[in-house]
Parts: sequence; C-alpha cells; structure tokens
Amino acid sequence: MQALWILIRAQIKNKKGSYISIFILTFIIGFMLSSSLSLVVNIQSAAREAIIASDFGDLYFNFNLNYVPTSQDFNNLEQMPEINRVRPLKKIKITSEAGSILHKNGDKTKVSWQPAIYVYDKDNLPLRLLSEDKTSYLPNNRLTPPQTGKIYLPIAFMSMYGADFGDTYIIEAEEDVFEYEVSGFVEDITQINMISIGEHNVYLNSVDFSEFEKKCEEERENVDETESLLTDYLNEYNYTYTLHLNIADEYGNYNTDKLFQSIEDATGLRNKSFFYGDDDMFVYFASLVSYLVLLVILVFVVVLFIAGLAILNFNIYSSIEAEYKNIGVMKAIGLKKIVFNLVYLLSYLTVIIMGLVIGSLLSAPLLKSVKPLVLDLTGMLGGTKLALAVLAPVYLFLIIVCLLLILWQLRSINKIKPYKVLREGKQAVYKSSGLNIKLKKPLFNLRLSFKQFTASAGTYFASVFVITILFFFVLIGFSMTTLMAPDHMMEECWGFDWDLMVFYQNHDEYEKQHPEVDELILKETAVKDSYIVYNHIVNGLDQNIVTFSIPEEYIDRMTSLIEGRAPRSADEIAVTKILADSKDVKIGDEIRLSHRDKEAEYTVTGFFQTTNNVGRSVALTTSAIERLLGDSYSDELTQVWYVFEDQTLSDRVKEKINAEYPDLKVTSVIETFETYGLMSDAFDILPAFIIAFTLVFVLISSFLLAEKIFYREQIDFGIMKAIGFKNSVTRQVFSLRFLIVALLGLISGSLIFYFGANPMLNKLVNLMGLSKVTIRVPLIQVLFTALVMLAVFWLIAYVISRKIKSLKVRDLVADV
Amino acid sequence: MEKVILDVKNLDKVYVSDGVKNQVIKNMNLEIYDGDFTVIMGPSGSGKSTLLYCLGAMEDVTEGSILFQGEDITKMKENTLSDLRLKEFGFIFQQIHLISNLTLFQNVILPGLALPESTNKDIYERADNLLEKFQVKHVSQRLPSQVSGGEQQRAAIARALINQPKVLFADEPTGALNQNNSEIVMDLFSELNRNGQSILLVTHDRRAALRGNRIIYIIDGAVKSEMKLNSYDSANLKDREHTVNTWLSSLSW
Repeated sequence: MQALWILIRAQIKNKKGSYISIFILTFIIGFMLSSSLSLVVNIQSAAREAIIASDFGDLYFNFNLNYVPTSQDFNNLEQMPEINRVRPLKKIKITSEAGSILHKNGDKTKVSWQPAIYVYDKDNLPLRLLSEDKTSYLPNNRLTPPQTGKIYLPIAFMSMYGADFGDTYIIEAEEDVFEYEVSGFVEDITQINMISIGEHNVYLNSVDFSEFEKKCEEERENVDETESLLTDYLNEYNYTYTLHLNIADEYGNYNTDKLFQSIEDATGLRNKSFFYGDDDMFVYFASLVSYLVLLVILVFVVVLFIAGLAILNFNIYSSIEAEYKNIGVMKAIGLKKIVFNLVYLLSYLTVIIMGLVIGSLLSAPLLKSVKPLVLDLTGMLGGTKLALAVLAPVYLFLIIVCLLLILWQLRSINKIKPYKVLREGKQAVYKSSGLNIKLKKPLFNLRLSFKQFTASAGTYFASVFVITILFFFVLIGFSMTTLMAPDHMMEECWGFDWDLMVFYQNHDEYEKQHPEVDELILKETAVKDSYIVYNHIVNGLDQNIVTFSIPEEYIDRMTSLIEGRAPRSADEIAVTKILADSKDVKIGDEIRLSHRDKEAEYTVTGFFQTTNNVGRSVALTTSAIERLLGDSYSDELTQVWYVFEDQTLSDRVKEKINAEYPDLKVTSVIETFETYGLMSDAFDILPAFIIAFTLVFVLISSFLLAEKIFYREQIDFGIMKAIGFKNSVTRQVFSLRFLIVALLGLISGSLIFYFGANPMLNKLVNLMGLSKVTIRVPLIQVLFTALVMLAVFWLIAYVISRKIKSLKVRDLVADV
Repeated sequence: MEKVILDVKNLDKVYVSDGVKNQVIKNMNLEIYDGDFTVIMGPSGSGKSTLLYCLGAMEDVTEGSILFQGEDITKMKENTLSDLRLKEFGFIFQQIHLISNLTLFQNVILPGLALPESTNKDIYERADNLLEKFQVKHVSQRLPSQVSGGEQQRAAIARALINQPKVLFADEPTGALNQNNSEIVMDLFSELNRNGQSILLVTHDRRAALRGNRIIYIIDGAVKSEMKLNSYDSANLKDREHTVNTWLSSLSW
C-alpha cells in the first residue's frame, strides 16, 4: 500500500504537466456538458411546468377566422370517449390593424400582425404572471385578471418588442382606438412558436373584453351561416375559439396522430383548424433553441473528449516508455503488475473525475446568469439546477471509456521484461526504422526529419488525429458562418426569391391599392420581377402544412429546389424534402390535401426546402390551389413579392410605401437579414471561438509531444552534435517533423470535411426544416487558419528544441 | 621533428554539483603529435575520459587552453566547434551510439551529408569503401539492433572517418565488446594508424593499450607518466606486453 502511494506521488510529481492538461480538458468538458445539458433539462422542465401550471391540457386547436367552432362541435368532442374535458376559449381578432406598443420613453413599436384578444380567465387557463423584477412568477393567489384599462402581454413581447410594465398597448380599428396600460406579462407556452406565424395573444379582463364581443356580435348579425371565406373578411371584429382538450386517462398512451385523426373523424375539426398540436409539441418548440445550443456544444465536447483521449493515450504511452527502465528494475525487485496498473488508474481517474465534478459545480453560476437570456428566448423562467440525473450516466460513460483506454495502454507493462531492460536499456524500446527514405542532398534536413518521423509514426499518430479533428471543426465552424449568413439563409431557408413583400389583407384591398403601390415602387427602383403569392394552411400528410401558391409563370422563382422540378400545372405540387422523407413520399407519388370539407390530389414533381413552418410546406400554382379552395382562394391575404435590381434599396422602398400607406404591411429583405443577422452574428463568433480553442489545443498538443520526443531522442541529438551537426541543423531536424505532423493533420481534416461535413450539417439543419445545405468555405480564412496552426505547432517544437543548445554533448552521449 | 597537433596548456577542469566542486583535471600540460597512436590510461575517476572530451571539443574547460593546429579551441563559439567535430575530428564511443532507426549505411553517411561542400556521389562512394574495408558492407542496410556489437562498432568507426578527420578520438571503444570483436576493432585502429591516422584513445584495457605508440598514464587529473613504444607489430607482442606491464606495475596499475 505504501509502495503504491509512493509511486502515485512520484508519478504525479514527475508528470505534473500531463495531469494538469487532463484536468483542464475534463474540467472544460464537465463545464460545457453540465451547462448545456442542464439548460436543456431546465427549459424542458420549465415548459412542462408551464403546461401544468396553466392547465394547458393535452391537445390544442387554434382556429382562424374562417371557422368558428359551434356548440355542436363542442358536444361532439365531449361525446368522444377519448376526451374528458373540453375548454373553448373565445378569441377575438380585428382585421383592420395590427397593434403597437407605446413605450414609456415615447417610442412606438409596431407589433406585426393583429392581436388575438382573450379574457384572462384563471378558472380556465391560469397562465402564470411574471413578477415585476422578472425573476419569479406571482403566487397563485395573485393570478387575477388585469384591471379595466390594463392588459397582459406574453413574456415574449419583452424581447421581441421591448415591452415593459407601464407601456401602453394600442389597438387601432377603423373608427376606434383602444389603449391599455401593460400591467403584466403572462407565461403563454403557445407564444414561443406561434408568434412566428402571426398569433399574438393579449389578455384583458371580462369587462374590456366584452366591448370587443359586443362589436363582434353587431357585425355578425348579418353573417351567412355557411361562413364563406369572403363573408368573414367583410367584418372588422371577428371571433372564433381556441380549444384546450384533456385526454381521458385510459387513452393517455394513445398515439397523438391517431387521436387527432379520431377527432377529425368525429368532428372534422382538425382540418378546419389552422394549427393543432399536443403538449409535447409545445415543449419541443420551447426547447428548440436549447437543442441547437446543445448540439453545437456537443460537437465541441466530442472534439474535446477525443482530444483528451488522444492526450491521455499519449501521456500514458510515453510515461511507460520513459519509465521503461525503472519499471523493468522494479519488476526485477519484485513489484507486481497490479501495482503499476493501480498507479496509473488511480492517478488518472482521480484527475478525470475531479475535472468533471469541479467543471460541473462551476457551471451552476453560469446557469444562474443565463436565466434572463432564457427568459428572452423562451418566454419562460428557466430553472438553474444542475441536471444531475442526466449528467451522472453521461459522466459514467466518459469515465468508463477513459478507464478502458488506460487499461488498454497498461497492457504494454506486461511486455516489459526485466532482463531485457537491464541488458539493452532504453534502446530496446526503439526498433523501427520507418520508411526507407534515401538520405541525400538537397533537402537533407527535411529527408532526415521525415525519416525520423516515420520511424516512430505511432508516437505522432495521436497528434495527427487531434489536429485532424480540430481542423475539421474549424472548417465546420467557417462553413456554418457562411451557412448562417443572411443572404445564404434567405436563399436556402425561404425557398423563394424576394426583396420586398407587400401584404394586402384581402383581394379587394389588393385591387384597390396594388396599382398605386406598384407605381410608387417603380418610381423608387428598378424591379426585376414581381409576383403574387398566397399562403394557406391546409391539411396534408397527416399534419398542418403551409402552402405557397404562385401563378404558373412565376413558380420557377423557387430558389431552393433540390430535386425534380417546380410544379407547372393544376394537379402538380412540390413538397419539402423533409416532409417527403418523413412520409416516404417520392417524386411521381400522389398526395392529398384537404381543407375543411374539400379535398384535392396532386402529383409530386419535385422537392424543395424552406424553414417556413419548420419545413412543413408545399408549393403549387394558383390554379392548383384553386382546385382545392375554389375561386375564393384569392380572397384572403394577398401578397406581392418584388425582386429588385438593387436589393439594398428594399428598406428605403418600404419606408416610402409606409409613409404613403401606413396601414399596409410591408417587409423588406434587409430587415429580414437583420433578423437572420442576429442568428448569423451568433454563428459569426463560432469560428473565432473554435479557432481560439483549436490553437490552445494545438499548443498543448505540440508542447506535450515535443517534450516527450525530445526527452526520448536527446541521446540521438547528442550523437548528432558529437559528429558535428550544428545546433540549428539539429533543431531543424527535430522541429520539421512537427510541420509534417501538422500538415498530415490538416490534410486529413480537410478530407474528412470534404466527405463528411455534408451529412453532419444536414443533420443540424434538419432541425430547422431544411434537408440540404450548400457548404461554402471562405478559402482565404481557412488557408490563413491552417497556416497559423502549422506555424504554432512547428514553433512550439522549435522553442522546445532550444534545449539542444544548452545540453552538453558529453552529458548526452555519456548516458548509458 | 614531430608535429604537434593538439597542444594542451595549463588545463583545469572543475565540475560543480550541488555546490560541491570536483577538480577532475589539474593544471595539465600535454602535446599530442600528428600521426601518433596515443593511448591515455588511468584508474577510474582519473579524468582520462574528461580529458578526451575536452580535447575532442565536446567539453568546455575551466582554465587553460587547447590549441589545435595553432588555434585555441577553448575560445571557439559553438558553431565553430561543430565544424571542428564535423571536419577535423572523428569520435568513437564506448556505447557505440549509432542512431537506432537509421541503417548502418545511413549512420555512416550522416556526417558526410552534413558537410556543405560534399556531394552525394563522393559521400556514398567513401561510405561504401569504408564499410567494405571494415567488412560490414554486407550488413550495411540493417539497423544497429540487427547486427552484432562488433559490426556496430566497425560501422561507428566508418562514420567517424567519413569526413577524413585529422584526429580520431576513441573513448573505450572495446568496452562493450567481447574479446574477439575487441581484437578486430583494435586491428582496425592499428591499420588506420599505420596509414597515418592520428588516434587518441582512452582505455583501461591493457590489450588495447598495447596498440599505441605512446601511452600516457593519468592519475587525479594530472599526467603521472608516459611511455613511448615502436609502432605495433603483432610479431613482437610478447615483448611489448612485458614492457608495458612492467611499466604499468610500477605505476601501481
């Protein structure tokens, strides 16, 4: 026992650098894993808590103004054995104007889309309220509706529009203006995702809400019972419902798709809704950003872990090699193999476990500090606990891998025979001659260096491997930056080419305003192209899908077609690849779309991609959508998309239009760039982060390797000095190998990137609804990074080799 | 008149370790002559190896000077000393010290290729000739670990001679060899000396010492005595042995 303890202490004392590097690596791994996994778990928990606290229910339907569920619908639902509770919540929308926020400082922010107005009803949907200091939720007994003249907004408004307590929320109708003081922010789980498709929920008390109800009733008196699309949009004040359903306990394990199908069969409500989903879906959407963050961090962690394994492998290998003679002597005097094994196992595993634990503990303050960011991103107060239940098995796995690696390396201790050690000494270790390279002039130094490299190629393998992986991820980082560049995102993610979008609330408005708006635009800039686009939400392939319908002559403006061709006729359709893959749809297949009681079949002509509706989209001609929706397809929101000669003018054109037509919704590509730009900015720092990381690792790797190689070969250096090699030549011969190592790593990293990056990045973009990415790597930056890596790796070795200068020849060659 | 190739004046060498001084060479004055086979002998710790390494420009001195062809090597910079070791001196070690992952041939040509003015053809030819002469050409493509100790040492001698040095230094060249190989190696030295090669050899092996034409006996870092002999001739071995043994006995060897 005492012998073991003495050996462990000596091991740690002599190999301090190795243990420190392993500790640093495992610390960083523990820190990153702990932060990211805990973040995901905390956000998921927060979402679940939000679902439970608000009594959200298991299934959710949201209806657009083109359908108002009737009491018969509710009865039909209640009759279903699968459903044990039906809660309809009345929703009022004003079609004339979107809302706006007047901030306390006098600035005004326009809120996109009309608000969906609800009563804050604690008995039906007790949404939690954020405290004024934004660090907690109010207790249950303080969940009261807003006072008359006041309004609750979703927490998401705080980050999206800069809304704050005390601001004024304004709803402008044609003849009325409604102003409310913002007195609270609600945790509304639907507002994380649905804000992006136009549903901005706001909450009033019943008194204020009843004002809108009255107006709806007044306007509704003349509504046709068949509720055609056209009739609805004659009204300014409209109501419909959202439905929250609870599943009966005995059907709790049923497949949700099947449940929605049952509801459709019994009531037809699924197809009549514009959005439906279950609680799991909302938890997923709430957690989506954290999944992306986790994915990126996991990439780093994998890199770090592989690098750590390589360093651990190298440290043990070279430690055994360096202690070869001592181990042989100790074996000769009777120490058993188990003692040596325990020395390495206990010392390294202790350091690894310490690194993971300390890294995890220190991630706790980080989790606390990102709480406000989580609030901004998710509209929820995330927890700050460490996800120990998730971390424990992950860490156990990592430790087992390390343990297996150490045991694998320790096999070589078995092979150390005392008599051989005592007879041949250190030279017994080095037997390989490497490649048969002819030593001659010119480039004698390089040839000798390469020869020495090949003679112990295995020693360098780990470093080559580390540089390969690091450079691969440098390239990934760069390609993600170009991937996330706004113009690239527009091309790949939107699916269609546009610089300006003008939205007309309905066809009448389009007919009235479009000619003038068009003329105004033409005065401002040269227009390359313009075309009408309609979006509808229909049902197809067992889910809600967004349709893009464009006139035949323009439909090939699709920028993200990845297979097949654009649809041309009324019975053709293009589907997103991700949707097609999920339902095993091939080009040439027929798919059915339905909307309310109408259906139509289409032949798939091609696949495209878009992040719209997370990839759940289709594209078809206007004649094709007319087959499904009838000629009233154009009654709804009509968009005109423009492509300019000079894209940079789109913001200016938008300002001009809004000056003349303040009620018209216009979106410019520049402002969308800015939205994408936020994400792009985040990914812009990714390469810098990866490069910094990489250089640190290159530094550590080179240092460790150079030290070990120098120690191992210093007698050879002594011989070379003795036979007349100048110090500079000997240093070159030593350090050139590191250039070779780095170069091999860079080349293999590039090759792996060339062949492997696509599948990897495609997996990442799948999360956003895309299925294919075009990888573009900025060549100059990559070459520069490669050169820096080469230089650093070589330079460290050259610096280490300065020891050659100070070593006495006699000391080196007198070693026996 | 014998030409002095190495002239040692008032040489001191002191090692300091953990604050403790150890004077290994004390005010030594010595001349080494061109064409001589000079053997340095002495008991363990007498400073003979230290003297060899100082003369071979591999160890610096504390005091004094060492003139090689009139130039003081103790004042030379490292690069000049490297040139000296490359062009003028050849060194043979007790541990042989061939580079383990180079073949015998590659070990031999290594110093030759380091010489800026050499050509590949000259070096390759010279290496071939040397290896042939030392009867190791047939194993020249093997690694040191794949040949015997004697073959390794003969390759090491070839390496030391590749650049046609003025002086060949040998530190116990037969120390790691068996008797048979020792004889072969010493025969080589004798032949080289017969052809005019200046050799400075350190040994505690009496049989190796017989090969020299001048034996210097060192004790406690100073020259105690020296003996001159005729050139080595195996026919007169017994007499030579007797003469040297008597002399060594008088020195309490």
